[in-house]
Amino acid sequence: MDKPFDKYLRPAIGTTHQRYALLVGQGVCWIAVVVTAIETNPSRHATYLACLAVFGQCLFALSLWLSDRRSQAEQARQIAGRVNAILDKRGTPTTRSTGNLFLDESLARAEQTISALRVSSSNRYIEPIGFGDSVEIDLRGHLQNAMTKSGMYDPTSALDGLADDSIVVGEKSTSDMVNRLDPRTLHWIESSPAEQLFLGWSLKQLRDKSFLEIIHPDDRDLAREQLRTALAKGEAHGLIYRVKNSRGESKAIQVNVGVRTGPNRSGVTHLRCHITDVTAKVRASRELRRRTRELTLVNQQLRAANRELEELKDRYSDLYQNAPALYFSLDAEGRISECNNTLLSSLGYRRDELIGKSYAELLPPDHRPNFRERFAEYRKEGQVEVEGLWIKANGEVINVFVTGTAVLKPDGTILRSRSVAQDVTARHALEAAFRDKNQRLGVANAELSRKIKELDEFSHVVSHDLKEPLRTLTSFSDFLISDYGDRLDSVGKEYVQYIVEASRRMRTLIEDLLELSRAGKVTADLRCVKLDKVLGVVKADLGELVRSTGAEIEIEVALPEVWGDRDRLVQLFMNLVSNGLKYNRDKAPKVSVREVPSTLAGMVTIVVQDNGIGIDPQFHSRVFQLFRRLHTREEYEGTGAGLAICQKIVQAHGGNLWVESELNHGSKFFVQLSRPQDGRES
Amino acid sequence: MSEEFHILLVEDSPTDVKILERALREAGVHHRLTVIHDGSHALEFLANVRDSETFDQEVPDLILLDLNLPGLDGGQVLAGIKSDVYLRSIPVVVLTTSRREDDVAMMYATGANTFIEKPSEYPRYCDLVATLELYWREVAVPPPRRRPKS
Repeated sequence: MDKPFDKYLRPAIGTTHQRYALLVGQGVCWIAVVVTAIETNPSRHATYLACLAVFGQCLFALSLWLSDRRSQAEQARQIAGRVNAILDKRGTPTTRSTGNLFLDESLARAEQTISALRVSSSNRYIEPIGFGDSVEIDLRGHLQNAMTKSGMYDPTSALDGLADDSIVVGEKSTSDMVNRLDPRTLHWIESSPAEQLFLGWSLKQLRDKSFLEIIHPDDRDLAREQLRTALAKGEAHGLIYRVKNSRGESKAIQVNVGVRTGPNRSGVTHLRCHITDVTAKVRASRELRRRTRELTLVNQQLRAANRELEELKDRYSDLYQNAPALYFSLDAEGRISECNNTLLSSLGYRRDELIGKSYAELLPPDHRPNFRERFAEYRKEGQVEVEGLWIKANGEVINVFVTGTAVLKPDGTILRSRSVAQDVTARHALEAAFRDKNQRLGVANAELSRKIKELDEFSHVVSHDLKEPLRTLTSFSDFLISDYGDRLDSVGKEYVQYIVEASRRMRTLIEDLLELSRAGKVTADLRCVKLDKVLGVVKADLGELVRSTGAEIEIEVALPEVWGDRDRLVQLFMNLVSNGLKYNRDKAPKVSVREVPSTLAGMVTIVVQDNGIGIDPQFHSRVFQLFRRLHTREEYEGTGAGLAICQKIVQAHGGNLWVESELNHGSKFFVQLSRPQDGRES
Repeated sequence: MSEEFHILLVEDSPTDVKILERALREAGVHHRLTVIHDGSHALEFLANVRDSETFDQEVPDLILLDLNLPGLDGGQVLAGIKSDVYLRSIPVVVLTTSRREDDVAMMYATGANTFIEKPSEYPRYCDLVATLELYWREVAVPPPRRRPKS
């Protein structure tokens, strides 16, 4: 009966005071009814009804009073039970003090009350210690006090609301940071010890502070707004602010705000805030964001690097694939593991036709057996260089020069080869052609040398063999004249004269021929020749001629040294100087020999200048031809071999001979010869 | 001992022989000329001279040797002469047309006393002959004519 009563009726009836007032009022009403009945003397039925009503009313009042008392007892028991539980968990205050004098005092007083209650609660009825509510309030007040101080009390429960009064028990209660703030000033009213510890101020100090003061200046406006909103809405959850405690530490807190109103919803009494230190969490999330940013950045970089790598790969891939050489790799068994495009296109194979096949497939069939052996050698050496033949897809055989080096695994065994082949067919062909040509040249050369030698021999032999009959001719012609001259008439003598002259001419020709053939033969014994000495000999030899013609030979002092054959050089300058004197109509014939600057490096240029008859420019090349004369025998004797011989001598020395001349203005013959080579002595 | 200057001429060309003879005559050289046209005959002749009793009288004072000989050539003749212990002392003048350096070197190496190129003109022949006589007869001290011991 009391359960539904408790549940439905009691709340409807209201507070205890209201209930008793109602009862009293009802009682008064019923008394008034009875008095009226007695006065008016109603019927027996009415009297009985009235008495019944009065009786019923008294029962009702009694039950109400009993249930109230029971519920009070129940509540007291509940409180007692909970308090007992707390105290059991905690231990009796007398044996365990919190260290806080005030708290201990409160707890002691609470304990007294509780023990009284405890004792009382074992009875069915409670001895009223005072007026029920006040007892409760007093008890609660003490308890709250005590438990708040100890941190055990969770004042989310309304002071008035008997409904959801929750006294938090256990560890959670000791570490939670909770407070009560004044709704207008936001000053602390109450603060849990954990919060006080966290903030570093005592409740006394906090009471002088506004909650906003601990908040970071940048967050304050937001906080103010949010708390105002909370006030309006009744609650707010998950508010996060940066705060600074008394120690100067910056922390981040998460606040859950609940608005508490007074009894009977009589306006806001305080804000209850449950605070959680989320510094770590905030830091963690900040860190996470930072890490995320970093990761994003790293990701971007990675992507960029990846792109570069791709490009690089493409570039190198292109370099490898399209290089102007035949690249390939063999695996440890001699199979082709990869090859580049150039190789494929050169040989005319598709990639699938070659990859995986043995290298021997590239060789002409008759060369294949050798491969095993060669490959074994390569495996031992780690490298190979070999010239051989390959067979193209179309059967054509080409010459290749193959080089390969082995790439080793960490354990020293061969992983694969780095090989390159070069098509040397063209080069081979070229080389073969070259060799062939060389050989032919050699043969031709030998032939030429032989012919030259033959020719020299011939001219030599002929000249010598001719000399003998020539001698006979000339000598006996002379004898004829001297011995039988008187027996010849003038005609006879004339005839003999012709014979003599002809013979002489023939002799000169033959001698010139001989000289010419000798002129080309420069001795192998070339050395440093002093031109001073050479010209000295020439001058001496021509001494007689000079005296008889009144000529002059002027040799420059300190002529240079040249590299050559001394005898031939004497012959050369003899010819040139004597020519200069011979082809000369001047009253004072003069030939001068001096050096002039040379245009060619390593060469010396000498000029033999005369004041003779000169040479018409149109004949400048002709004068050097063998036996080509510009004058009749009557004008000047000579076979016309002199300059040809000079030319031959100069050429044999690797030099040059040329003339500058005008008719009747003398001639300049330029001789260019090599300087002596370094380090050689004369 | 004869006052004659005994010259042995080894020469195959008759005209050259005639020229030399004439030259000797015209140079006024008091001489005795032995002419042999053949190389092997020359060696034979010399061998005979060497072995004969009249070595002192027979041995030539000078040998004029042409190189262009039929059969045995001048070089071989020279070698033959110069390898013989008794004959090698006889002065040998190689008188020939060729002036080839190889020939010259070879002849001197084989032991020729002099190498002379035959003059192409007769007058010079006379000079040459006179010079030769002058040199080998007057200027140089000739080798003694000593008969080889048998």
